[in-house]
Amino acid sequence: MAYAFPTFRELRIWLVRMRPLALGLALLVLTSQVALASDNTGRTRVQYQVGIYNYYTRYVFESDFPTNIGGFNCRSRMSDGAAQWNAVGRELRFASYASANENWIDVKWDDLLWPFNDDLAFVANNPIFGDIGNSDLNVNASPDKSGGGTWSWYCGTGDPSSAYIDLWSVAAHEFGHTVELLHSGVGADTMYATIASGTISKRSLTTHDKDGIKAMYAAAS
Amino acid sequence: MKGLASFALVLAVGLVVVVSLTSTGGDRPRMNVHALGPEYSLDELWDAAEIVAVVVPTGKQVERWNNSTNTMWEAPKDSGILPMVYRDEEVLVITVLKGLPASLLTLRNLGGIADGVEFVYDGLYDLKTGERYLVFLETVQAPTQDGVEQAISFVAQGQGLFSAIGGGFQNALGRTLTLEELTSR
Repeated sequence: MAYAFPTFRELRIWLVRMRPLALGLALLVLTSQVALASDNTGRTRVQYQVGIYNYYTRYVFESDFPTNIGGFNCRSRMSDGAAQWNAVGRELRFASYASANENWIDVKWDDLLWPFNDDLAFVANNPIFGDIGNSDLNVNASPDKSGGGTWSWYCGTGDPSSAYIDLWSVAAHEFGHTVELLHSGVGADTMYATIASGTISKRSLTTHDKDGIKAMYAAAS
Repeated sequence: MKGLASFALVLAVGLVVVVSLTSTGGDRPRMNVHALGPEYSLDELWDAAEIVAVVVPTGKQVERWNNSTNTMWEAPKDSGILPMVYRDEEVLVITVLKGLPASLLTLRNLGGIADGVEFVYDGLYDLKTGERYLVFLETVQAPTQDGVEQAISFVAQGQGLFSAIGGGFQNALGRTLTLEELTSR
């Protein structure tokens, strides 16, 4: 059977008749665009939507993550690090949660082997979904020192001595990685790839750090 | 019949648009790893290194998983090991500044592609064949599929690997130095 394209008049009649379907299709396309607009990193996320553009990403401490080192609560310092990013006021916010879930950020405390034995912490972003919720945030319980010995963790809110690494500063850095921020080339930034012992300057984000998350997430409504 | 054909045409176009907007593409799975290290001075890097040398990769390399299951997203709890891809790269030693290395070394570097999965480490250079690198090397106890083995890798990872730039070298953290600075210490 020979096929003939419809005339303009036939098409117009057909379009009027199919208006509900066309409307639905347009809505579907529009919805997809809205979803992409709210995720300009192109990654899938498992999050909890509150309102329209406010996302909460949960993080969960594994059971052996210490609550007390030297009389200070280490979990609270991790949360202080996450709070630095929340304070920027973007659509993404971190919130701790008590129960484990594979779709949330696992905050782990392990004695790491090579190649992370002399690192303080690392974040691995999940390759399957590539989303935030599936990132693992690993803190090295006993980071090896160059030349022998190990670093000690400081979980307080004051000033550590040079023998200690400030967990709050490290937490702020690592939560930055869970949103897939890369290392900064600016030494003063929290997102710079190293941290000096006995310092607390990286507890707070620099303007450059904040620009990173601002580029990825819209302002919270 | 014509109406049905037009409907099918519009629907197909619509579906293509929707799929193209929502698809993330057919890229291979990619594990991005970001590690934070303590900051080491040049003296500390030097002291920790067994070998300090300028090397040139020959292009000979192999990429492997460090575990047998390849399930990097199901890392064994509390094992301290992140299942990952590493590469062993052969380099020719052209200038020795510390230690007594053989003329050809195999360096264990992080990252690579195996079984269609890519591992990328933030803050490390991929070695390029024929280019010069200044490396601070140490022996490490590296987990592999066959258990832990000794390997030669960089001191403090990205801090101990410098790429040639201009008349000197620069590591991924942006620290620059020249061989004269090193030898005159």
